[in-house]
Amino acid sequence: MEIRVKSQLGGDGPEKIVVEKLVQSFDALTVIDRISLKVAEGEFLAIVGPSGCGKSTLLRVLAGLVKPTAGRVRIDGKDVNGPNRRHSLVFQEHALFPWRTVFQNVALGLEIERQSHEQIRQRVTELLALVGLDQFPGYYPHQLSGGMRQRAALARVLAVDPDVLLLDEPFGALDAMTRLTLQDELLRIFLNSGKTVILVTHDVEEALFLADRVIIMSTVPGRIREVIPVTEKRPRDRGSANLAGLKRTVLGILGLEPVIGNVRVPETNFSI
Amino acid sequence: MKFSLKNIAEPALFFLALLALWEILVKVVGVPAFILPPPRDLYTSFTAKFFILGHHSLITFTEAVGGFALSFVLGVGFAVGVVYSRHLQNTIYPLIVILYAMPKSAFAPLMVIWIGYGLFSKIAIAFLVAFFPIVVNTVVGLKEVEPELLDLARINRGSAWGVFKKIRLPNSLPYMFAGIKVALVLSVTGAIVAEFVAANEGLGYLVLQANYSLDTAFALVILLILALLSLALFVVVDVVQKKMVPWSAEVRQLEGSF
Ligand SMILES: Nc1ncnc2c1ncn2[C@@H]1O[C@H](COP(=O)(O)OP(=O)(O)OP(=O)(O)O)[C@@H](O)[C@H]1O
Ligand SMILES: [Mg+2]
Repeated sequence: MEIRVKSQLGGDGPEKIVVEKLVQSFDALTVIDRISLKVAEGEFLAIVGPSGCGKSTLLRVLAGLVKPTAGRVRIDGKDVNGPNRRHSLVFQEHALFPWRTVFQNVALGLEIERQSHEQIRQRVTELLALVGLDQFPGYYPHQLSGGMRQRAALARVLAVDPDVLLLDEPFGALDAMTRLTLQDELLRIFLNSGKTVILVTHDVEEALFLADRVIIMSTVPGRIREVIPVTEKRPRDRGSANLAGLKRTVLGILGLEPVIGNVRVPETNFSI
Repeated sequence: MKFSLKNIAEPALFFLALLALWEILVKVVGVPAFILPPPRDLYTSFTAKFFILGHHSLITFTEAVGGFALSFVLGVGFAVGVVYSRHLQNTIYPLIVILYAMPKSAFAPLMVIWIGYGLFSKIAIAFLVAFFPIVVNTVVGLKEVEPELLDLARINRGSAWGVFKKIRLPNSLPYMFAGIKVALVLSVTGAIVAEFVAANEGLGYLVLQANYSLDTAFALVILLILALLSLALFVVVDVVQKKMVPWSAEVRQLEGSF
């Protein structure tokens, strides 16, 4: 049975992830309150929302790391009841192994798959070049900057080639330039691979530039406030009037005036 | 710490100045030699009794390192047991805590009764004092793992053995080394105290003999030898640590707490 989900560009596939009335509580605190959600295969979904509203928690449930208090999560029609390498998570706190070099961190999943040394070397070298860390394979995490750590963590997840990428603010600690480069890189990977991506971000522009749909969550307990489809064709122009308008809408829903001083934020968008 | 000429020159010069000041003050003030002998007497004493010192140093070294080695093997084993077994944690751990609260060196007379007069009662005391820093630090190191790293292990379906070998053990190494450094120095102290109580060889025994004959210069020489012994052990561990734990930025900080 193949249910078609009404979805946007890049997201016309069969449903990949289905979340039904998901509830997640920690003791008395309900963090996620009956969220239902469908994500099509090959869709890029972005999630924005206030800090502490349960975005990371949602990703951890999807990754199978937390058993939901109530509700169901299915991926590929199967209930998620534990972590799985096909649905891999990039943590908000990058989570590199301090005793492994950049190379060894990225190679981790491949080692577990028992790939040959030569295969691992090739793949890791490729990925390090992709995230711009090819000069630093022998560095330990404590010798890297925050942004470099995040790039290493991204490379590590890409190494095992999962079909669902769960990204928790992967570019949060990056400078504007690197962030834009990696957004382009992520987009390229996404378009070439047909992976399903769920990206949690604080950056509304990032969400609108990358995603097929942007989900806006409410403050805790987290609910879905609004779903904003982004229909603009890719590659998108970061400075387009359409995106600027959407940004205003999203910020409005988040309760943030898109006006800083007397400068209208949309006009200050830069494009590369 | 880098051993460059510049780094060595300053403390060396200071040390020499200190010796000179000591020599002069003792002469000028006229302190009797049995209270504070001049450094020159220390040197004479050292050269005259070089071989005796060597023999007894070797004894104390054996006791201290023997006790330390035992505490390392049993301590790490015990720490792993406590971290992995509820039963051990509920039964033996409280016992260990009580033992920890006792002054370990006070066991020295008992050890003579239990184990005898020789080498092994000294090793036992050295072991007792060195055991706890190893256990405590290793337990902390095995437990305090970033939760995300354990999540990653779950995502990658790491086995319990894999998690131990690839996550908990490497995570514990910087802590373990901090414990080892404390333990080594304590084990030297332990051996000496045990020798004070009952022994006929070792640096602890020798320092008592020097005291009885009011040979203060010799006693001071022995103390310096003891300091050098501890320091040498410390440096060896430090070198091994730099080899085995090249990743850790925390290590320096833990060292500072020693
Ligand atoms: N293991 C846990 N035990 C108890 N409470 C938790 C746990 N994990 C998360 N929480 C709580 O759930 C709420 C949501 O946390 P979560 O990390 O999902 O927020 P977030 O939306 O990712 O925030 P941010 O944008 O700041 O990263 C917080 O109030 C947090 O304290
Ligand atoms: Mg978060």
